[in-house]
Amino acid sequence: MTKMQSNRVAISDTPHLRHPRTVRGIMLDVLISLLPASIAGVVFFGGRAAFMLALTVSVCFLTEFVWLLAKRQSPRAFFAQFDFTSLVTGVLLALTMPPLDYRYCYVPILASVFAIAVAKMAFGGTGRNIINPAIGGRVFAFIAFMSLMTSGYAVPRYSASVGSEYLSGATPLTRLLGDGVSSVGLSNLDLFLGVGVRGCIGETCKLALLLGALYLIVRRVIRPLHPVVCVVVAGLVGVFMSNFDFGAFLPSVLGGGLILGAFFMATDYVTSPSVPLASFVYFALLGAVIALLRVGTGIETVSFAILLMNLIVPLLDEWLRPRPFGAKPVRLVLRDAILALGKKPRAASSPVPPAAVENPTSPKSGKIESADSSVGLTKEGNPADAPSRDGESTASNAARPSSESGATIRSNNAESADSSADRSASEENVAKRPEGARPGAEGDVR
Amino acid sequence: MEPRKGRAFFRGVHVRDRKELSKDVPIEAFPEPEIATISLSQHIGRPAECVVAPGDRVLAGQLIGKKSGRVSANVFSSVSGTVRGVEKRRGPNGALSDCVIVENDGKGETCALPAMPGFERADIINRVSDAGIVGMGGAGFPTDVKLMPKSEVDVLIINGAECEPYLTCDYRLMLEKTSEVVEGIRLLARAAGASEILIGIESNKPDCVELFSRYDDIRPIVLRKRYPMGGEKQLIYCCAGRKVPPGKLPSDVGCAVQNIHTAYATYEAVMLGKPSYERVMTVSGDGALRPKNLLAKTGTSYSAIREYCGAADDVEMFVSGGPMMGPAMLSTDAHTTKTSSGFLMLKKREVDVLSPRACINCGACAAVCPMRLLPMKIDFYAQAGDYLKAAEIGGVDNCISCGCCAYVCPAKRALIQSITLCKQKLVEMRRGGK
Repeated sequence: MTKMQSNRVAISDTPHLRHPRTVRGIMLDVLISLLPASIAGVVFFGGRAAFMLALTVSVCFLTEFVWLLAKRQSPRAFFAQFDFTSLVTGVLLALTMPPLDYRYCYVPILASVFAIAVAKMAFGGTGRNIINPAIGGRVFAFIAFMSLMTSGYAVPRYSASVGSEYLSGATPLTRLLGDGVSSVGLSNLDLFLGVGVRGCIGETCKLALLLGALYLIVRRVIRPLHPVVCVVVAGLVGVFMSNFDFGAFLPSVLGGGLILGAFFMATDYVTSPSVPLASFVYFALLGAVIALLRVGTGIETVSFAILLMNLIVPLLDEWLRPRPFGAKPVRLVLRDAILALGKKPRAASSPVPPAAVENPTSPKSGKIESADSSVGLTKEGNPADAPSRDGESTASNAARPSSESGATIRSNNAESADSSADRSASEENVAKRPEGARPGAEGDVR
Repeated sequence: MEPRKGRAFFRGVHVRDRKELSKDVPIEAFPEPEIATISLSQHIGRPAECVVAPGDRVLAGQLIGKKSGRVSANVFSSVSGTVRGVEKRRGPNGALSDCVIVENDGKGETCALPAMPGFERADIINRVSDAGIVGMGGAGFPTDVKLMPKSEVDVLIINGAECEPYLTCDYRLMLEKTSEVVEGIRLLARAAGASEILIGIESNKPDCVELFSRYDDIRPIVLRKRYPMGGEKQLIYCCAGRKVPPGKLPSDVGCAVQNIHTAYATYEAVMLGKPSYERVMTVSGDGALRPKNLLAKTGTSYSAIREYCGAADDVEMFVSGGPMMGPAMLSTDAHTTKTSSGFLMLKKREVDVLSPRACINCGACAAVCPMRLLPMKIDFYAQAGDYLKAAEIGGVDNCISCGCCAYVCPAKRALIQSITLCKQKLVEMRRGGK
C-alpha cells in the first residue's frame, strides 16, 4: 500500500478498510501473556530469575538495534518499525533457561546475541527466520554450556511441603524418564502449581502458563486446538512408551517444558505452518517427536523437537496446502484412486484404462497432481472431475439459444475465431470476480 | 415463495457494514449535468465505436457509441444537447479512455428504443444487447453475452446480497422498485432459459426478503452476513448448493448470476424502451455530510456529486464503488459510468493507511480466503518474481480479488497489489508462450 499525499487525498490499494489488528498489537499480546509465567518464575526462583529476564530482554533488544544500525537504518526508522518481536524472544529465552547464578551471566548474554544475530537477523529479520530465535538461543546455550544448563537448576522457594530428598538432583521429568512414575516424588498438583519443582524459570508453574495461554486464546492470537493436540499426543506417546501406564500421562505432560513449548514456542507464527491442515499435522507430529526424543535421550527435548519441526514447516505447508474452492475434494480423489486400483486387475490384459492414468494411485501424488490442474496450468481431462450436469448438456454450440429457439440472434461481428476466444477469455475474467462488488485496480476499462 | 435459509461458507470476513448511513434515504434524482463526459469504455471488452461527430445534436437515450465486437456494449447519451468532441479523460479508476463530451441544452428531450417485436428469448437478449446493459454490480461484463452461455442454465440467481460495506443502492432499488425489479428478473430468467429463480439477500435486509417472498415464482434465500457473499461462486454455493470448479463458469453447473440493478435496467429497456444511461449510486462515508442514494446520469462529474452531498474538510480518501474492491480516486475530477455503484468519502478513522511490514506468516489470510488460496505464498513468490510458482503454490488463477486477505493482514501487506501484478504477468507469459 502506498501513501501519496496529493491535494491531501490518500491513495491506497484495495481494500480500503483494514482490520485493526497489527503485528505490534499481536506481539504486545504475546508479551502480556508471558507476564504470569515470568512473575511465577521470579516468585519461585527469586532475584536470579528477575536478573536473567532483564538481561536477556535488554541484550536481545540491543542486538537487534545494533544490527540494524550497522545496516544503516536510522534510530528513528528503527523505533517507527519496532514491533516488540525481539522483546518476546528475550522473555521466552529467559523462561527456557535454568535460573543460573549471577557469575554465569555470560550464558544468557551469549544466548541472546546468538538468538537475535544468528537465528533471526542473519536470515533477514522478523518474518524471515527459519527457526524460532528463542529456541535457537536456548539450544546454542544448551550445547555450549551443557553442564551449566543441565545442572544449574536451583532449588525453588516455597518447597517446604516436599521432602528434602527431592530438593537435590535432577528435575522431576528426568526422574520420570529415568526411573518411572513412582520416582517423580511430586504430586500432580505440585507439578501443576510448580511448588518445589526444579526446572527452567518459566516452565515450572503450569497454572501461570495456562493463564497466559488463555489470554492468547481469548485475544485470538493462537487457536486452542493446536497446542492441545500437541500436549495430548505427547502425553499419549509417553503413556505408550511406559508400557501403557496411564499414571505417566499427567507427569509427562506437566513435567518439563511441554506446556511452555506447545503454547508459546511452537505457536510462533513465523516458524509454524500457515496452512490450516499443515498446522494440525505439525502440532501432532511435534507432540510425538517430543515424547519419543525424551524417552530416547533421557533429557528434556522440547526445544530440540521444536527446532527439528521448524525445519520441515515449508515442506508441510507445500504438501498440505488447501485445494481451491470448488475443486474435487480429497476424499473423492482418494475414492477414485482406490476405484482405479480395484479396476486394474480386470483390465490387466488390455492397455491401462484412461481412468487409471488420470487418477493418481497414491494419495500424495494425487494431491499435487490435481492441485496442479486446478490452477489451470494443465487442463483437467478426467471426466469425473466435471460436475454431473456436464453430462446432460454437451457443452457445445448446439446448446446455444440461437439454434434452440426459432428466432435468430443478431451479432454485430461475424463470429470469427478471434472474437469467440476474446469472449471466453473475458468470461473467465468475470467468473473470477464477485458480481456485487467493483473490481479493484485491475485495469477493467481498457 | 417462502424464504429459505442459505448455506454458509466458512471463510470470508465480517466487516462493519455501515449501511445505516444511507439505508433510509430514498432514491433521489440528481440534477442533469451541465456537461456530460460519457466514456466509450464503461464495460469489460472493447471500447464502443463513436458514431457521432462534434457539433451533432443528440437526445438523451440516443446511441453515441456502437458496440465493436462480441464482448462490448452500446453507449448512449445521458442528456440532450450538442456533442463538443471526443477526448481522452480519466475514469474513476484512473484509466484514460475516450469520452464523448455532450453539452446539455437543458431541454431534456429523450428518445426511446423501437418497440419490441415480441417477448421471446431472442427478443429479450437482442434488446439487452441494444440497450447496452452490462453487469451493474461493478464488473461491467456485457449482460447479453452472459445470457448466451455455452451450456444449459436452469437456475437464475439474483445477487441481492450487496455484501460491500456502505453500499445501499441495490437495497433501495429492491425496496422502492420491487415490482419493476421482479419484472426484470422474470425477463432475465426467460432470456437465460432458467426455470427456477433464486434471490440471495443478506440477513441484514429482512424487509427485502419479506417483499420478495410475496411473489410465487421467486424464492428469496436468506444469506448469512459475510463478505464476500456476493462473490459469484460463493453466491451460487450458498443459494443453490452447487460448487463451480476452478476454471469453470457458473453456466457449467447450470447457474446464471445477475445483479439487482441489471434486472432493473432490463425491465426499463424491455418495457419502457429506455437504454442504460443512468443508475442509482450510493454516496456515503463519514466524510459525506448528506449521505444519499442518487439516480445519476452516466457521465456526471464526481465533483458535482461531491458538492451536492457535501464533503467534510478532512476527507482522507475518495473511493468509487465499495470500500473493499473499489479503486481510490486520485481526485474527484472524474465522471460516473454504468458501473459506478458508489461514491464514498472516507475519513481518516475509517481508512488508516499504514505502511506494510514483513509478513509474519500468521496464516490469517489463508484462514479467511473464500477461495481457499494461500495469499501469503502468492505475495512471497510475486515479490520474488516467480509468477508460475505463485500460480502453482498460491493458486492465484482462482483469486476473485475480494480483498479479505488484505483486510485481515496484521502486517498490512498489499496482497491484492501482488496478486494483480501476478495475474497480469501470468497473462503476458501465457500469451507469449502460445
